[in-house]
Amino acid sequence: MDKTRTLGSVFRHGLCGLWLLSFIGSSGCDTPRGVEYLGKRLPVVDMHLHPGEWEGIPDDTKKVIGSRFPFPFGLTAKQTAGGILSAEGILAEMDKGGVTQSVLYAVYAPRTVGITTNEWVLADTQKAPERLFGLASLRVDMFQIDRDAELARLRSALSHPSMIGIKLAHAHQHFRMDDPLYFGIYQLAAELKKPVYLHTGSSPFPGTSSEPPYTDPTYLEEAIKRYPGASFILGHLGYDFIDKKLGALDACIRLAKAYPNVYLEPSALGSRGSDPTGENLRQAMARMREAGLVDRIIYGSDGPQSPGFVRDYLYRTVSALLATGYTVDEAQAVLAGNFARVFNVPALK
Amino acid sequence: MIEYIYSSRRASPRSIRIAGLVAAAASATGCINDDIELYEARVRGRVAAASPTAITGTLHLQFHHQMSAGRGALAHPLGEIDRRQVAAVTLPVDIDETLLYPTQAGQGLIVYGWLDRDGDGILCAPGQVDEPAGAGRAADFPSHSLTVDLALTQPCAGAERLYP
Repeated sequence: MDKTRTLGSVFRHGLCGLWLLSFIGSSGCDTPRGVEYLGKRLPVVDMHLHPGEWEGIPDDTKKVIGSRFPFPFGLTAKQTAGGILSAEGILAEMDKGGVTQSVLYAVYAPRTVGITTNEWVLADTQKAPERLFGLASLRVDMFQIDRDAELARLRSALSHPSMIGIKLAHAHQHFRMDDPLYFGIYQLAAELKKPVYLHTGSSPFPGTSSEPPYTDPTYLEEAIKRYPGASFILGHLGYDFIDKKLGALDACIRLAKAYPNVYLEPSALGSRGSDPTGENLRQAMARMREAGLVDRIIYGSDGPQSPGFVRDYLYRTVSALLATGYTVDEAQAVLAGNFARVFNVPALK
Repeated sequence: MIEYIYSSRRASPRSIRIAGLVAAAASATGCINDDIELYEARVRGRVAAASPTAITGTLHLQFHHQMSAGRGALAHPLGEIDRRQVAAVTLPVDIDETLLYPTQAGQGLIVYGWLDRDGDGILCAPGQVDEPAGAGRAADFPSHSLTVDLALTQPCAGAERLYP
């Protein structure tokens, strides 16, 4: 009975967002932030959102992104993306979903998903510094030539308190997970105590490196071992976004069980497009819990993607937590508590 | 209408216009006036390893732009055009591959290769043998006939480690 009531509460929240969508330009509803879970309202931190500019995305990738917008947003992809990729747009998407705080990602992947600079992300975080944080990144496509300069730029970006970690995506940025040339990034992360988020698994975007050394977290093991002071957050749980399978989930779980500096982030894999029935996300949540890794899971959506995605992904995740037996305390840890502990960011009341 | 422009080795570039289905598909998807110009290049050369003893395996070849086009900061080194495999070779071996090179997507040509010694299709999987890789630039590109020799001397190196 509790479950039914809680899901209903979340769903009503979603309907509020849908109502908002149908009245574009109207102000948000007064639903409090967070989600109700088994009768208790919990804060939510979405640790994975992408701000930026439509023009910072390569043309081939724009086509993929535009094709995912629900009708009629795909007809005006540029305007739709421009609206939701801004700080104001992201805050509006967060409010629709009840998300308390979020982390915005810088990206330097000119061959695949494009560029959102550290400076852009930092400027966005300052629009609502108590709610928005940033992960900095760096270019690696000429790393043999400009490694020291890029690491210095990364260090500089991380000197701002709003920039709380590092974002990497080996598959999008085309560098092997086991290549020691890039280990200086993890060394810096350990020195500054800034966690590293790493895209793991395949990717649907054009130009992505799909071979295992770029996608399989097994190849990160040497770096994880060598830099115990760095926290490694395995994004997407190694999901296979091409065949819509759990992919390298077993490898992620093995690494998290073996190394205390490994964390797990289940974003994107449970979306309507990547997991239509929600069964893969439920399985992932169940298996991580069975493995005793609840204290390592950090919630993220990989939004905003399209209008309503942030809200929808939270709804699907909370549904998966309920379906797989997470207690209130466990859900609180996944949705906000683990993030606050790992990133040393105080939770917003 | 999409226009595929194809450059033969002997003639000046000539256009192959593909009407019908392509035009209909282009209209349906809104991809109007996207031109793809393909330049045919025959790449020949020798692939050798540092090892004095003969090593065998499947040769994996990748062809990249030396520099890919992109607006402003979106320009970047490399950018895969095509890839091939040559099974059961013993190094050194001669290669002879014909490539359709998309001219508007970038400039220059880099050839990257590695030898799959254990047959798993993965360059240096954990716990497996080291596998050699190498890359070379086609110095005389653009030309319809190119020579690129590869020395596979770098173990476990992806293309991004060998250029620039």
